[in-house]
Amino acid sequence: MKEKFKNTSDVQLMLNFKEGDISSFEELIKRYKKSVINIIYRFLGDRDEAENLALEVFLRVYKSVKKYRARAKFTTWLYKIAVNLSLSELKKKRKHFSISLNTPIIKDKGGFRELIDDVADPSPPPEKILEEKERNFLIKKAISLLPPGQRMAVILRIYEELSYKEISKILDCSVKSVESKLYRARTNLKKKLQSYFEIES
Amino acid sequence: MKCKKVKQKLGAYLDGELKKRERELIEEHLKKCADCRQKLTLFSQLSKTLKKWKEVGYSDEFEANLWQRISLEKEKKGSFRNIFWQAEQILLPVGIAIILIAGVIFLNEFLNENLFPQTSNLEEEYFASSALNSFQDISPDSLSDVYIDLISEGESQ
Repeated sequence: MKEKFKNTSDVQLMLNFKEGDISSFEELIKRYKKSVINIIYRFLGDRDEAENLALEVFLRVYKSVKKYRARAKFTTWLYKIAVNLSLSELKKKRKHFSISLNTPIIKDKGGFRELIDDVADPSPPPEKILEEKERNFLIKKAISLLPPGQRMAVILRIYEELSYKEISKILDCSVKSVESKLYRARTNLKKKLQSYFEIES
Repeated sequence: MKCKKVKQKLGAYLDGELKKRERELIEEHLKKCADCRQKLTLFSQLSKTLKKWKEVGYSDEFEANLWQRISLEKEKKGSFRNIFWQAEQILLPVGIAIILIAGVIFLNEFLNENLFPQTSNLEEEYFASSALNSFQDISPDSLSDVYIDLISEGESQ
């Protein structure tokens, strides 16, 4: 059914939606919900929270469709909403838990609960799952320790594979600044994860 | 290119974000510098490791939850509009009445001042001037002259 949108660009879908075509909006959700949830998840560290905030992102898209102008790439606009909401969520948390300013934003359930859940699943060999979960947990922790700007730059580059130019538009900074954020992030992450990936390779 | 500068560019080099000239300079340097080569290898391994962090899925109810939120938002907006509409029902007629009353008062003042300017002053002036005329020639000292004039007028007739 959704095949009809196969060759329709994001911007065109947005313009169709502006004209009242709800199925175009649904197609955009289908295309980007996973990216939006994962950008927020990797930044804040909690899956449920990420999904909840992703709903807010699409609600904002819905609400601002009348004002939408096809000036930039749709994803730049969409991810900018996601990034700004994530940043303000982080600020809110810091306000409420000022003591934990320097601690990572990982919640125990993120690593430990999932670990137990998956080990309890009988299908794949438990050691393998444990390895994978351990790795996920280590990467998640290392990324959560990065300052917000570096963290977001890494997420958009490594996981969303965006160009420096697009990242600079999303983060409202220069391309040079993106390059420097990513360099510092890589240096920080290398220190934290080197022992781990040296064993792996 | 110096080692420090090259190292800072290695990430962008890996990401394919360098211009041709910069890329060539770095490649030249890498041929000679084992230290930078090692750093490049580490950065490359780091990227591969980071990529292994699995993405999370979404719940089956994502769309349903979104539509629910959208309709909630509409309701909120609707009830706000409703309050405004109700207020409008009272405020509008009251407002119109106030404007009408103020208009009548203003017009009244305006017409009095502009269409019949200083009516009372004119009247006063008129009476004053006529009174002045009638007693113009009479001064307290010459009352007898008036009688004499009257008598002489009567005699001449």
